[in-house]
Amino acid sequence: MDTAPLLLAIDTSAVGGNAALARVSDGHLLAATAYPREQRNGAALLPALRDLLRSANAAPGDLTALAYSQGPGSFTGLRIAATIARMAQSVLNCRVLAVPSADVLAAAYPCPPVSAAGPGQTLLVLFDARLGHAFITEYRPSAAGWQESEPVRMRTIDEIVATLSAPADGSGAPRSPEGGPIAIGPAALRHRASLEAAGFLVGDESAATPRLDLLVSLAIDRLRTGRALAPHEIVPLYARRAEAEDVYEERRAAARARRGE
Amino acid sequence: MPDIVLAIETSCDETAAAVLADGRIVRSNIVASQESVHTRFGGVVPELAARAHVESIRGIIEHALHTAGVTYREVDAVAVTDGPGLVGSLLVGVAAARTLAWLLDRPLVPVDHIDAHAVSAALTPPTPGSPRWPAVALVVSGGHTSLYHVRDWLNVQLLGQTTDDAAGEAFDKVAAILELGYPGGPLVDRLARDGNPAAIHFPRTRPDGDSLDFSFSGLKTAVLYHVYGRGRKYGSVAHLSRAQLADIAASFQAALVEPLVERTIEAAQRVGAPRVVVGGGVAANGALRSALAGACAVAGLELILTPMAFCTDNAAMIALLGHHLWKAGRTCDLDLEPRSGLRRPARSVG
Repeated sequence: MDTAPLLLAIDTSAVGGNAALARVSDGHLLAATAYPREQRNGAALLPALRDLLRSANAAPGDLTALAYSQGPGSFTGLRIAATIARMAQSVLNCRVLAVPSADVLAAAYPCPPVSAAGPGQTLLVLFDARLGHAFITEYRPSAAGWQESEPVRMRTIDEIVATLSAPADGSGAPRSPEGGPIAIGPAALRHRASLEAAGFLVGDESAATPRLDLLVSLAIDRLRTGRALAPHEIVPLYARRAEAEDVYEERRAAARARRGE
Repeated sequence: MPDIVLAIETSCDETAAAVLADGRIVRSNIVASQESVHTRFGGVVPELAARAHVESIRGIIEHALHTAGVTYREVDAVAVTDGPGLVGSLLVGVAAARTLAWLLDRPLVPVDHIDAHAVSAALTPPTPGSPRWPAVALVVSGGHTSLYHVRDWLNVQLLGQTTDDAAGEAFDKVAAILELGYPGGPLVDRLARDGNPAAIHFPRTRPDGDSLDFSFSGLKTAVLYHVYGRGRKYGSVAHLSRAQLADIAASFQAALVEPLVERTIEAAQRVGAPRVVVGGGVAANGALRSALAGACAVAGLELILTPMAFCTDNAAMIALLGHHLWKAGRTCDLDLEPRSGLRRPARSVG
C-alpha cells in the first residue's frame, strides 16, 4: 500500500461525476473513476469512491486531503460533494479544498502571453443556469495563466452578448475572434450560435469537460498556499439565490409600491 | 459494550441526529429547526431546506455524538431516513450517512420516516425500548396523516392515509387564511381555545365510504370561502372580530379532529388492536389529545401519546427502528438513494 499522504478529488458539478486519487506530494494521479450521466451522483458516487480507493490499495485513513469542485453546477451534485467533504473532515480530520468549477475549465484553456494578449482578451467560462441564463466567470491573461477578473454571477445570454461583446470603439461591429472574448463551458456550447454571431470565439466540447488532473493540481496549490477550508466554509458555490427568495422580494416590492412607499 | 446506533433524519426542515444504545437508551437526540429560515415564506421552501441541511448536518452529528459521549469509532451502525420526504433534504442526510458508513466501515440502515413515527411510542417512559404492540398508530404531522397497524417492530401495515393535504398542512394553510403566521398548528390551537367549535359546521370528508383514508383539502377551501366569501369579496380578515376568528379556528379544528379520532377508533376495532399510539407533530394539538383520550376511554382502548420530543421530526425514532432493522439484517449498500413518495397503500414491510 502507498502510505504517502493522499488527496481525493471529486467533481460532481455535472450530472455524471468524476473522482481521482492522487499523491499530495507531487499530484501524481494514482487512480481515477468516472460514471456516466445515466448514473446519478446520489447513487453512484459513494460506491465509486470506495472502489477507487480499493483499486489503489488505499484506505480512507490514508486520505489527508479532499478536494471538491465547488460549482456552479448541478445543485444536487454540489450538495453531495460538500456533504461528503464535511463528513470526511469530521471523521478523518483531513483538510478540505474547494475549487470553483470555472477555474478547472479555465486552467485547461491555452492562455496567451500577457504581452501578446489584446486589450479585450477575456475568457468567459459559462455554466448553464437554465431558462436562458448562464453562470459566468471572467478571466484575463496573467503571467501565471488565466486570472479571475470578475467573480461568478448569473446573467442572461442576451445580457452577456450585449455587455461583453460590445466593441471598445462603439462602432457596433463585432470584435474579431483574435484577441477578443473567448467563451467556453457547457453553456457556451449550448448558446454557440448566439455567441459566435456576436463575435465570441467559442471553445469546443473538450473545453467544457473538467479535467481531474487540473482539479488535483489546483487543489494542491490551494493546500500549499494555506487555503484549506474551515468546517463552515465547506459549502457549494450556488451563485444564485433560491427562486423562492426572488419571488418573495418581488412580492414585497410590489406591496411597497401599492402602499406608495 | 452496548450496541450504538447513530441516526440521521433530514426528511423536511429539521436537521436531526441521535445516538441510541442497546435499542432503548436515548443517549442524545439533537434537532436543529429551520423555522427561522422558512417563516417569512409561510411554509417550507425545499431549496432553502436543502441548503440549510448542508450547513448544519456535520455540527448536529458531532453534537449528538458529543452529548452521548460516543466517538465515531464506537458507532456500530448508521441509520438514516431514506424517505418519504423532500428529496433535496433527504439527499443531504443520506449522503452524510453513506459517507459515515463508508469511512467507518459500518452497516448502513435505511429507515422509513413514517414507520419510525409509527413505532416512536415505544420511546415513552418509564420503559423506553419496550414494544407497545399490537397497536393502531396514528401518525399526524405537517407532511403525513396516516393510520397503521403495528404488529411488531418490522411489521407495520398501512391502513389509511390522507388523499390530499396532511393535517398539519391544513393547519398551516388555515393559519395563513386567518393571517396568524407560521407554523400554523400551535397558532390555530391557541386561538381555538377561545372559540366555539360548534359555531360553524365545516364539512367532514370521507374519501371512500369504507376506507380509512382522510381528506382535508375541502375543509381548507370551506374555511377560505367562509373567511373571504366566494369570489374573495373580502380582501382580508379585517372584517372579522377576534371572537369570530376564534370561532372559525375552533370550528375548523373540530372538523379536522373528528375524522382523525373516528377513523383511528374504527381502525383499532377492525384489526382488533388493544391500543392506540399517536405520533407526529400534530399530536401536540390540545383538541386532538382531548378527543382521543375520551374516545379511547369509551372504546376500552389504551392510548399512548408519544412524548413531544419524539413527536416532531427527530432522529431518536430513526435510531430506534434502525436498531431493530439492523438486528434483522435489513441493511443496504452505499448506493442508497432517497425517495420522495409515500408507501403504497396496504403494503406490509414485514
